[in-house]
Amino acid sequence: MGRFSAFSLAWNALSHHQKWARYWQNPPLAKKYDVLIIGAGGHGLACAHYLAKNHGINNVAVLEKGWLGGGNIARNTVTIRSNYLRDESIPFFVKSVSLFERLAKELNFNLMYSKRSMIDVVQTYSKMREIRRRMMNGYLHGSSYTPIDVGELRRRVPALTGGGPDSRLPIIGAMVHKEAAVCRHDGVAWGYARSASERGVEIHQQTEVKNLLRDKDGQIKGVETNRGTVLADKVAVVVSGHTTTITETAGLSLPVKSFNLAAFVSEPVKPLIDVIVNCPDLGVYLNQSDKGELVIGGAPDAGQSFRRDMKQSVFEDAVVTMLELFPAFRRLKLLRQWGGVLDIAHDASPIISATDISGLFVSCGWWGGFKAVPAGGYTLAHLIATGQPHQVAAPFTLNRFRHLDFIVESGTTTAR
Amino acid sequence: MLTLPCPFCGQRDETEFLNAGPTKPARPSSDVTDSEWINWLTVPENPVGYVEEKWWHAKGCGKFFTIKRHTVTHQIMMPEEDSA
Ligand SMILES: Cc1cc2nc3c(=O)[nH]c(=O)nc-3n(C[C@H](O)[C@H](O)[C@H](O)COP(=O)(O)OP(=O)(O)OC[C@H]3O[C@@H](n4cnc5c(N)ncnc54)[C@H](O)[C@@H]3O)c2cc1C
Ligand SMILES: [Zn+2]
Repeated sequence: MGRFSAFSLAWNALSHHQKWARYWQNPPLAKKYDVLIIGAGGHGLACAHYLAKNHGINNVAVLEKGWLGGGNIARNTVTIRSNYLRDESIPFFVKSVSLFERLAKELNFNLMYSKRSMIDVVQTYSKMREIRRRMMNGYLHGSSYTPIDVGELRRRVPALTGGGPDSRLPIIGAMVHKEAAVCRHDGVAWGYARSASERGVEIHQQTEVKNLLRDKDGQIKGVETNRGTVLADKVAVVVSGHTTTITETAGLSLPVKSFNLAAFVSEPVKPLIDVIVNCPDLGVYLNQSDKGELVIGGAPDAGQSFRRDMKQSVFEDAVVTMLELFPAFRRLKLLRQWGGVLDIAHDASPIISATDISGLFVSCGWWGGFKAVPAGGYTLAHLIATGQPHQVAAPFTLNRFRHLDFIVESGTTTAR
Repeated sequence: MLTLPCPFCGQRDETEFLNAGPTKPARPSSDVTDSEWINWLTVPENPVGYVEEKWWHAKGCGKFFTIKRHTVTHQIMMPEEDSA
């Protein structure tokens, strides 16, 4: 397969870049594997990579109904951050952010990882209280969150000219999260896929799982796909948004609901904003991509939904609220809009867990799950290989519902 | 634009309403097992198809009401209508 380097770039230039090796292989689909992973998104591919790399398990197939990297992994707004609220959550997301920092090197793949602060713009006193509590919890767990005043905020984000003393919700302060970052999201999927494939994992696109199959003792024995039956003693459902449609084929209900989350981008403009701006009181957040486009996200559509477009009313809300704070953006042309389906638990925390069906694992409830791809894949691989949850993921099993021990992260930020 | 049928005000724009989530089956009697009770508390319906849900006309007359809405097409029916 060969390593990517300045040398390989120069070498391949000699053959006009026609001879680069494929990122992943396309072998025929076998009858049986040790582990099946349903869903070639960020979490499924990361899990495959860590199963092979950390646990030496590579008789693994990743089954994907569409194309690799066509799901939420390539639909998110690329915000990476660890300013969560709860004692259980912060160590998990701190681990993910630190894995992300080293990821391009680990995968030998340019992820265009770019560390840049996230700034929360605060416009109400209740949000200020909530965010100060978050700051103190962050200090306990090694995630930074530092208050700045309005003057400093306007100095750091000159485009933010709205929200003055005469506006409906004047800005009263801001909070800076230094560890935040953005990176090229489809690169994360391709990088993990390339590395997993190199270690012997098979990736099968256009392979939709229709049903889970169980043996007479109720243990999982494989899946039924549009390309026939594939057997395995361990099956992980990592399909972001569609988890219940798959687990219900084996009679397993889960405490999640599916929602539509959407985003849109503007035409490219000169460098204008070098941080991620999150406006939790208005419900809009944005950052500027390397191409110069503003990437803008808002609130989810209110009711359950399995759609992958953006609803007009959600779009209008996001635009109107953005213009409150950035009136000059009125003149920007918008280029594209899209959405994705995510599932969310009652407490908005993820689920990485074994299930009541022996051999069946789920990784779901990924509401802001792009930042969590490295730690999510790492800990899911650990669970599948050892049968025990990894220490930082132990709070996120289905047990917390059994004991009503919720890890409530709902309603805390707008930026994912 | 999606409009919702408020029983008091008629068809109104969805931005006047707040979604109050899917309806729950009737509360189980007190002799259920722990796991049945936890399921009733925590597991919602999540169909690709019609979900029965509550809406609140928060920016209108304030009424709560129940409809069926398709989670892919947003098509709306009354709860008593057959969605099969
Ligand atoms: C608009 C938007 C903005 C977001 N912004 C952020 C953000 O800024 N920061 C952040 O951390 N997170 C963000 N997220 C959330 C993040 O994208 C997801 O939580 C995360 O990508 C989900 O995990 P995944 O990558 O494994 O999912 P996916 O990439 O969706 O992978 C699941 C895969 O399973 C496949 N699949 C489904 N059903 C089947 C089947 N029956 N058989 C086979 N395969 C199947 C799908 O085709 C898909 O490829 C955002 C999401 C959206 C939609
Ligand atoms: Zn009304």
